[in-house]
Amino acid sequence: MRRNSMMIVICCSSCLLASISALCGPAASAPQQSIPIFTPDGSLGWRPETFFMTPAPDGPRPVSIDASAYTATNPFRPLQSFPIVDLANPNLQPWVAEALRAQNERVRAGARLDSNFSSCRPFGLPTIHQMTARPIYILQSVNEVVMIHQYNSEVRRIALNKPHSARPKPSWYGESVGHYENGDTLVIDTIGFNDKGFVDFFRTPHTLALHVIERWKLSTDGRALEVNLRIEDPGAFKAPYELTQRYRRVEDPWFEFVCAEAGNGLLNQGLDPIPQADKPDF
Amino acid sequence: MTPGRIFKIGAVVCGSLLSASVAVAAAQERIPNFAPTAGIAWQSKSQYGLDALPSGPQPVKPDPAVFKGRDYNMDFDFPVLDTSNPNLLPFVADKLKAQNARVQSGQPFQPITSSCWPHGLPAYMRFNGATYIVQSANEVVILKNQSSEVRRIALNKPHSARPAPSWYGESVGHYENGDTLVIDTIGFNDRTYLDLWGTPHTTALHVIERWTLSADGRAIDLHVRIEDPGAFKQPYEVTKHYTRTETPWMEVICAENPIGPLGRGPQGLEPLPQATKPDF
Repeated sequence: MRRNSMMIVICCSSCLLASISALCGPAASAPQQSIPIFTPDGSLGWRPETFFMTPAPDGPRPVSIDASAYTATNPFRPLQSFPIVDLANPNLQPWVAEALRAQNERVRAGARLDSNFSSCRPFGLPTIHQMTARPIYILQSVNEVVMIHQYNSEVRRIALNKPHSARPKPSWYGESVGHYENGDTLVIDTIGFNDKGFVDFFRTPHTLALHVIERWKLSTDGRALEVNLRIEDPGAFKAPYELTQRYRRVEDPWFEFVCAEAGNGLLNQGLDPIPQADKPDF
Repeated sequence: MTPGRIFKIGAVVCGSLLSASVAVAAAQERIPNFAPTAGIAWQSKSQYGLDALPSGPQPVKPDPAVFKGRDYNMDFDFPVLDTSNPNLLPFVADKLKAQNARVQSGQPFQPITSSCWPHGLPAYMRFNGATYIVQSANEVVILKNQSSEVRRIALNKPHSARPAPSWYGESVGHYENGDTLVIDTIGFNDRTYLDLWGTPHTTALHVIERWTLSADGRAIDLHVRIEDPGAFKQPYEVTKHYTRTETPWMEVICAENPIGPLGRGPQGLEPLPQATKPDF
């Protein structure tokens, strides 16, 4: 019976592909390859499982927290604690290690170290893969894939089966092109980042040369996604490194989360009251 | 169960689903393809973003007596509005009169979007720059350059019984006549304005859009019907004409304010106030 249900899943996928092709115009639907259908229903989203992504077993490590800086009574709290990171990572170029060292000192001295998203700036890549608090929604058309993060409706647009531009204009999410492989995987190649973002929630900086390759593989039962990330930036890291994140499918209906409102924001839990002036400035 | 039997069941399921989806496609004959390639965008030159019909109930407009001899400039003038519009219910007219008085006394008026809050509908469609329409089998997404605001439209689904009020409401859509996307939206909060001029609405707002692709695929005629018995005596309609363009997608992050203070360009015409000492 297991084979039976798998077969139906495959058939349904082909039918959906056929519907997409039929609906979206014959011109663009010439290659009748099988593709993973990430969103059989528009209300399905995908949520990353772990804040700490899994590094490749033998490869260089990503920046992570300095475990000795945290204790059982003062644990590191993902998306909440200001990070003190491990500076012993041998893969960091000197300026990156120096930036993180200065940052550690600030945090140890009690200063705040907010993320870009605290002031409504985008997460960027691959940081967004650590944003476990809210789901991502994936829409597939014939010639592009759109990923919408529920947090502030951040949008990634991935053009399918197109080469990169010769000189993409630097941006937070860079220029993404993609294609499908093996009937179950979406491969995304992204360049053209600005250097205002970070590669993780620990504020590890990168250069304009950042290159991120993602492989989004749908599980056979369609309920899980495994995303393999390769991060290359010779200006910031001595060798490329790889990470894996798993996403699980969630039935979270879309709702608008507007950062500028800070409606139910991370900074507005009463733990960390927003400073108030008691008289006007001008 | 033998593998052969399983295969037959699979084939029957597959065949019926496939024929169902083909039948659906055949019944609709075809749908408008708003994005034959990923770089296709739609732009407009509408003076106020959305155009009034020649007759019938009219949207709120700038007061012609104030902008005598020249056009109101959407980008540079603070609005002084015609509150004699007979279609306004008293709370709308009163709000706009108070706002006019403020502007005429020299106070600035900024739409909520100056604080990076969402446009809402139909103000979203006032944007004349590149607008992108992405279609999948069960959803349409509308995006535009100049903000990362997203509209999501579920296809061929009914509205929820009680949608939670939101800036863009709950949109459902379907295709008609092979050339038109019809979007029906309810479930708005009452914090947005219908335009860039502060015209308020209630949570009863109901917006029906018809996006019709021209036969040559190079233009869209948008027709918007706005119903809000809490704000207007009658529903009214506005239109917009888009032409096709190839404009690369561009991220614009409102919080970065890349187009200058309050969206008015980097000319320093309206510098942001600066405090001379810290607040605390």
